[in-house]
Amino acid sequence: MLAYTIRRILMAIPTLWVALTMIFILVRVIPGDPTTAVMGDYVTDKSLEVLKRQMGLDLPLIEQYGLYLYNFVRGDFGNSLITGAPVLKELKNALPHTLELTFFSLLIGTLTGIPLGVFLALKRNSAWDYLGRFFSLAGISFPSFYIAVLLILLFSMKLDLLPVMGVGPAGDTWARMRHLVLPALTLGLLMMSYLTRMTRSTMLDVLGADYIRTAHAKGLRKAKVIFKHALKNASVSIVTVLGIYTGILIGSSVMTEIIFNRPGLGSLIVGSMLNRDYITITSIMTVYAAIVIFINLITDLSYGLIDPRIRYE
Amino acid sequence: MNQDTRAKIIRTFVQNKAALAGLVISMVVVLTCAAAPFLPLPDPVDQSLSQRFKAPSATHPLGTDNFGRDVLSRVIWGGRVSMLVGVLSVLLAMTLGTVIGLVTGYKGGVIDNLTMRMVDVLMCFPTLILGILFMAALGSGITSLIIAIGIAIAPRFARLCRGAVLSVRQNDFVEAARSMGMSDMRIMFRHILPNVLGDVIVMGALWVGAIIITEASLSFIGLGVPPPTPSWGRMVREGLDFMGHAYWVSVYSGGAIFITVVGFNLFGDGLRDILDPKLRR
Repeated sequence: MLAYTIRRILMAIPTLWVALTMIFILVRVIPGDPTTAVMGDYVTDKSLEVLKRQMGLDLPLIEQYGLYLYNFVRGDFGNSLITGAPVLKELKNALPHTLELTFFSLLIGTLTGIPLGVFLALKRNSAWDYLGRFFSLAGISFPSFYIAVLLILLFSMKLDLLPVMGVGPAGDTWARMRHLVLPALTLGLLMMSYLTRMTRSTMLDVLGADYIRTAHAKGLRKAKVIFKHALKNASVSIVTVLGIYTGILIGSSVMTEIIFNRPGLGSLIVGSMLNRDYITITSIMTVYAAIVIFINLITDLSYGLIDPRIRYE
Repeated sequence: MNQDTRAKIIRTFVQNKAALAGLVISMVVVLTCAAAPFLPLPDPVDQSLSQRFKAPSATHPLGTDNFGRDVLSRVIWGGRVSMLVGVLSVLLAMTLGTVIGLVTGYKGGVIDNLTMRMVDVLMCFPTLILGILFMAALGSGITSLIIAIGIAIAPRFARLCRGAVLSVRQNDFVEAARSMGMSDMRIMFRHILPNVLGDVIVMGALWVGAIIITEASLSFIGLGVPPPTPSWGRMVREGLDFMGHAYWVSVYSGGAIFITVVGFNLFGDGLRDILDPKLRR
C-alpha cells in the first residue's frame, strides 16, 4: 500500500504542473489590460509604465511564467489588484467557508443517497423504484440556485425558521450552523439525487453477477449478501463517482455561495472576475485545480484500500 | 444502420414512456420558444410602471416584475436564449471533441499523450468555473455563451470519443481499409466516425440539460446575455431581490428551467437506455 501511495502522489505532481501552465495561459488570454483595471481609464501612459514594471508585466512572457511557477512553489500568490491585500490571506479567509459547505453537503448526500440507491435497486421495478427514479431525475434537473430559491421561500420567508444571508458572527458556532443549514441542504439534495441514481444502477449491475447467486444459493442471510458481497463490490464504482461528483459539487458551490451571500471561494472568484483582478483569479483557479487533483488522489488511494487487486497492478 | 434496426429503435423508444415524455416536454418547450414572435404576448421588454408587481391574473398569467413587464412573455422569450445556447454549445462541443478524439485516438503517440494530459487538466476544473473564465475572455453575449460553454465541455467529448476510437481501431475493417491504401482522413471520417457517433450523440443528449443549467448560472451571475434581453438565469436573480412580495418572478422563471431540463434529461436517459443494450433495464 505504501509503494502504491507514493507512486500515486508522484503522479499528481506533473498533473499539477500542467494545470498551473494552463491556468497561466488561460488567464493571459483574457483581454483587457490589468493595469487599466487598477488605475481606471483615465491614466497617463507614464504611470501605466511604472505600474506595469511593478507588476512584472513588462518582462518577456517566459520570464513571467517562470516567476509565476517560482512564486507558487514558495507559496506566494501576490497581492490582490483591487484591495492590495495578500491573496493568500483572502484565500485563507474564503476557503474554510467553501470546504465547510462542501463537506456537509457531501455528508447529507452520501448518508441519504447511497442507502436510497441500494433500496431502489432491491425493489427494482416496483412502485417505489419508479417513484425514486422520478424524484432523483427531477433532483438532478434542478439548477442549484433554484433549489436555493425554493428553500429560502419555504424555510425563511413562509416559516421564518432559518437565516438566509451570510455565515453568522464569527465564534458563534450555533449561529454558524444555522446559517449553514439551507446552503448545505441545497447542495445535499443535488448530491443525494446524483448518488441515488448512480448507486442504484451500480447495485443492479452487481446484483446480477454470478457470485451473488452463489452467495444466495449457499444459504447466506440476505442482509449479508447485500452488504458484504454486493455493496462492497459496488463501492469501487461508487467511490469513483463520488470523486467526480465532489468536483461538480465544488462548481455548484459557486452559485450557492452567491445566493446565500457566503464569503467563500465562489464569491471571491466571481467578484474578482467582475473586477478583472487577474492575480486573485489565477490563485483561485490554482486552488480549485489543487482541490480536484487532491480529490482524485484520495479517490485513487481509496481504490487501493477497497480493492487489494488494484494496488498490485 | 439498416431499416430493420431503425424500426426497432423507434419501437423501443415509443415503448419507453419516460423517454417519450421527455421528448414531448422538450419539443413543447422548444416549439413554444421558437414561436414566441407569433404568439399573442405583450412585448417582453415593454415597461409599465403602473403595472409593477401585479400578482398572476387573467391578463398576466404569471404576474409582472419590478418594471411591470409580463413574466409569461419574458419566460417564453427568455427560453430562446437557453434553447439556442443549449443546442448550439452541445453541437460545438460534439464537433470539437469528436475531431480531437478521432485524431488523437487514431494517431496515438506524442500528440495523443499531450492532448490527453491537457484534457485531463481541463476536466479538473468545474464546468462553471471554466465557463466563467471563458466568458470573461470573450465578453458577454449569446455567441460568447455558446463558444465559452462549448469549449468548456469539449474535453469530455474528446475523452469519450478517443476511448471509442481506440476500440473501433482494433477492428479488421480498419486494417482492411488501410491495406487497400486509403488515406488516414478517409479511414477516420468514413470508417471510424460512423461507429463512434452513436456514443457521442447519446452523451450530447445527456449534456443539453446540464448546459441549460450552466447558461442559466452564468446569466444569474451576470455574465450572460446583457439586459434588457430576458434570460432565465437573470430573471431568477432579479426576482430574488423582491421575493418577499413578488415570489412569482423567481419561482416561475426557475420553474421554466427545471421543466425544460427534466424534459431533456428524460429524453437523454431514454436514448442511452435504447442505444446501449448493456444498460437496458
